[in-house]
Amino acid sequence: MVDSKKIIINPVTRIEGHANITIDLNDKGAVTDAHFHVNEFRGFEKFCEGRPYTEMTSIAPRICGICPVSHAVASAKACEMIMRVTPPVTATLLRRIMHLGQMISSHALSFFHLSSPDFLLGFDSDPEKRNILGIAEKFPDLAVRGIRLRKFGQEASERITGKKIHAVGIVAGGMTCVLTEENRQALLAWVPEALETTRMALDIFKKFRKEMRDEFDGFASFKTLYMGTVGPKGELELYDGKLRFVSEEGAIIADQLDAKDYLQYIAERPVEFSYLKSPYYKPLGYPQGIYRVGPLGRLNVASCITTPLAQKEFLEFKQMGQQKPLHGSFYFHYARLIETLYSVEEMKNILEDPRVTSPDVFAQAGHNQSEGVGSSEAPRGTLFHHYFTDENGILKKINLLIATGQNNPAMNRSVLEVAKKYVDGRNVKEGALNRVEAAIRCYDPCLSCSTHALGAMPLQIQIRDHTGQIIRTLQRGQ
Amino acid sequence: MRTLVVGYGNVTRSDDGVGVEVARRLEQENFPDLEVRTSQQLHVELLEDFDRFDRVVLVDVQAGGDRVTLEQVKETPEAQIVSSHALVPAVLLGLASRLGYAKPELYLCKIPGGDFKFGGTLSQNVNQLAQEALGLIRKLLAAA
Repeated sequence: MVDSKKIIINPVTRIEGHANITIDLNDKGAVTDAHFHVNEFRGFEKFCEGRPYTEMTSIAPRICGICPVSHAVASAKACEMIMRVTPPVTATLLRRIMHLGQMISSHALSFFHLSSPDFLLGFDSDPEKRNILGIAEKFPDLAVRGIRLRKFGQEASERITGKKIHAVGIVAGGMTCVLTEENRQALLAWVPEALETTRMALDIFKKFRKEMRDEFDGFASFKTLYMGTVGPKGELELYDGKLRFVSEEGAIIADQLDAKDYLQYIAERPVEFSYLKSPYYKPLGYPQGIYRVGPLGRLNVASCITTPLAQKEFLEFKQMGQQKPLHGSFYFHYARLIETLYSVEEMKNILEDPRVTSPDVFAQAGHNQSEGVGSSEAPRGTLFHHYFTDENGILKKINLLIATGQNNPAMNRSVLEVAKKYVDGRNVKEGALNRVEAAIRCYDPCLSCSTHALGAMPLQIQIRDHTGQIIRTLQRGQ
Repeated sequence: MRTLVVGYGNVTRSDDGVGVEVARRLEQENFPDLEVRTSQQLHVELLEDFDRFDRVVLVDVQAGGDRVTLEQVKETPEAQIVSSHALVPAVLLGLASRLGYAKPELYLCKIPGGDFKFGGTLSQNVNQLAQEALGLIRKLLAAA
């Protein structure tokens, strides 16, 4: 007699990278535990050892095809700390434009391509059509807008550097490219459409929330701490700033922390079921110190947003949580759209700054100290690059603390919460498993972009007994 | 006839980068009315440029197979997208139809690859197949 079983979702679909989910059942078919497994091993930290630190701004963007600018920025900042140099103002403005463009592009991909099929077509709709093609069929105007919003974000990099993906041009000391007046105007011309599309997406989100309020608020909802970057007044900041942690109830427990001291307040705990470690807020220990980063983390820690349209939405966001953190994982999507709105508005502000087309974009310096830390907000959360060099500037050790890794404990918890609520081991329904995947999609995890996928990736569920033997295999729709 | 050639693949995975290599070689030949691009993978944003071209040629590696092919792509309405990393040309054409984008003649040049390990160079056999692919694309360009 089989006294325990596992359901394995492998691979998880509509996320950036390859992973699978295991759901453990007891003999009555009830969920007892669940895990999110990341099986990819990248090894960037190891194979960069022995290389000159100046190469890192070229290598780091290759870590990810979705958030290459954040990696380039964090890397450049770490290198600039080693060089003790400050890039010229225009270089920072250009980096900010690219960074905001990346935020728009990544968030548009997450909402329109990966998550909107669940909102617009339904969690229980035909899985064969629950994708961007299904959206194209039913909502063609919206699908085109989603494609164009993502293209706008990519153009921000292309208009400055000539390349859409794997950001080039960001180097230690500044930039190797300038923005021409023609390209500045071309980017500005996109702004009205980008704002309109984002507002349409916000309307869709709010309609979905209204219609599905009960499911929405309780979906993977649990209390954690939150972390994000803020400006001096606590305003949302994506490129540069200090770190803030808030408690489950929203009280600021640490503020204006310098990113270079991150090891004082963040520790990592390895887990046996995944290559992703589980970071936590060191002063509280594990698991009390589990925190979340990314759009929801950033808006839960921020006091305000500096652009008018996004600030208006932010006030509504805060009101939904009655001025306390919103814990439901679906609110990641809302926060993502508010950040998109902010990114478009802020990009317009920077493009209207006359300094943005200055040719003064690079400051030179040599190797002046052995260690450097750089951080930046990435679409999925706070990112740290930490480099140690020898006296010749050769990398001896590298530590990369990636946003998705910081959400790992919360993603595991989300999978468990949703599985417990929706999965019945005696009658496994596709819609229930899609909800389990949707819990992961809230975090928009980015596991790897270097793997070149061949063909489609079907969802396969294996039910195994406690010895690991497969006793049943299910495919989508069966 | 305005033509766009897009070679895509991962150039750090040996033969996976053959599409990019073919595009680079073709770019050296300065064909009239030809634009050449390279990319890590196929993206739906390419649809936005479809109205600028009469013909689009995609060049990609194929896992398995024994010969280079260059064929016109037919629309496949049933095709799925489950990941932004796995867009196939037929789906791109299907999206063009459904979303009202221009539909240039779409061709796919497939080159069989055998070595997908980490590495920046093509295997000897695939290096030769890249030349064969170039020949087929040149012929298509000349036929216009």
